[in-house]
Amino acid sequence: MINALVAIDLDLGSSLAIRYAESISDLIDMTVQSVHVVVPDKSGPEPGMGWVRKTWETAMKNTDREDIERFLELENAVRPRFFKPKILLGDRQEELLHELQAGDYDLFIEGALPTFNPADFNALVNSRLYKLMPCPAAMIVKNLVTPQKAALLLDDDIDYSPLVSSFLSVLNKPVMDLDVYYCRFGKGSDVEVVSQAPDSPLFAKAVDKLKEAGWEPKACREITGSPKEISEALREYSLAASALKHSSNKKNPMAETLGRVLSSVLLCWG
Amino acid sequence: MRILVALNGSPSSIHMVREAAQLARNTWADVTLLGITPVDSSPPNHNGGEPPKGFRQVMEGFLHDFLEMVNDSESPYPQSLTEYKWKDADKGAWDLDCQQPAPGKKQLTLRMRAGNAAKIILGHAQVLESDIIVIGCGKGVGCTWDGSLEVPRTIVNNASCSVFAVKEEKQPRMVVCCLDNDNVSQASLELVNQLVTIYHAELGLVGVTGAEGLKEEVDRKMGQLLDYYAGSDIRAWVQLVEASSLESFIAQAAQKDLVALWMGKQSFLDKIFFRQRLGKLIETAQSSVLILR
Repeated sequence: MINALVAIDLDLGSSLAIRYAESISDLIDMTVQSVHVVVPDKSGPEPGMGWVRKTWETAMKNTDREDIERFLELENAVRPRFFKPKILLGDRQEELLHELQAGDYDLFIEGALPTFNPADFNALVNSRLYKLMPCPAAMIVKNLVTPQKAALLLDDDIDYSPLVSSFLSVLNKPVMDLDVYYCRFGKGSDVEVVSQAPDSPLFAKAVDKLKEAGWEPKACREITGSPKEISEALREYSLAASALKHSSNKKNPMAETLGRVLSSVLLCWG
Repeated sequence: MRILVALNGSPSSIHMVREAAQLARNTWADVTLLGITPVDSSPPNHNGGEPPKGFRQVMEGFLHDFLEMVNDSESPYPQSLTEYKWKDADKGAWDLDCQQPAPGKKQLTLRMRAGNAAKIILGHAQVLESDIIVIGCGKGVGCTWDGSLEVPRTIVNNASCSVFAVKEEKQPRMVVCCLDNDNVSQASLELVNQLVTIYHAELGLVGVTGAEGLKEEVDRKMGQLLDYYAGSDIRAWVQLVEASSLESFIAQAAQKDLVALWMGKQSFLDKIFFRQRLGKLIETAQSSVLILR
């Protein structure tokens, strides 16, 4: 049973995240806890200590709880568990980190609409929340697409074994079509796709591990191009999965590719 | 819906007539084919209610092609050219109308005029209360009317209704709609819906963000649009673009995709794409451009 935490606010990204989480929970055995963090208005004074602060915090949470519950009602979320959101107060990233640690979650889900500027995605995955995320995987929901076809992206900078393990810890059975890509990042003008697996024992081992778990990739391909071109070539997929290192804070081509794809992204920590 | 199709009598405009016919067939719109010839090219013997022969042949050919395109048992348009007759008209103005339109049928008329093209097109759009002007833009880069950039530019900048600048032989893979306000009419939604259907394209909904991110009302509207198009089985992708990057985003998108801009009264798209830039957009776009007003 996968234990997932969905972060929600009152926006379109969260609406997409809720719907995507519902779609995924139709496919895999998953419990979902929704959470909303009330961020105190920095411009106003915060009460100091004791019952005054307690009363203030309760009032803040209750106001947002009503809004979030109304939002969920409007979303027509059919799973009752979504209607019991945890309401936390404080810094969003810190509160989510605490909750992820306390709840021992397997998956973090949030909505983040794709932007034209890949630096936005880079900033997101290099934020404190993602750097210190204790769960093995994060789903960034960018668009509302039925999860039918996934692309698992590998490259030379990725340690395949933990990636595949994290992938399988979330998608523990074959619930959609899967293609596996080995990406060669370059600055060429045209993207090139070779419809055969690269001659690499590590790649073969990763595919074997997927097969052992019941996933039979429909295709294993090698793709060459810039992150922009590769992301364009992946338009048919409803989910792109790959790994990023917690420790890496520099811009890397895989992060840029994942930032540019319009589909949702499953980030596994390598 | 009322569609005004502006034609310059060049046989290459046939692609535009076909695009307009597809649009009309899907929307059951009233359609006016408006052919314009420069005054200088009118032969001196065009009086007596007869338009210049060569021009007339081309325009009648367009009407014939349009009727062929929409000809099926449920077509709301007249069946053939035989149902049409030239109306007596003033010098430089010739109208070919359906003689006895059946009840429930849509209007499909041919107007031929001589004179200043931009003035005539804008004037007709106003009088006919057109919802959209369809104007041809040739192939690839450039958007000219009889070799001049001025006419399409003037139409796009000054029309009070929507304008569809059609590039020849370009099948867009996506219809990319940019919005920065929630003032989106049902007619424009339906228009986008039909274009997506006609081109078998995907739909991109692009929210333009300002200094404080995406406006709440635009966020809400994008959610509504997503639901609206999902209900029509249209696959829609959302994306955000900062206002400062919008021009470069659109320049890239216009290479492969049909770009649609919702230019509402409260829209800062209207400010970003002030006249010269809008003209430049239709000139440099490889694909068609739709200005929604």
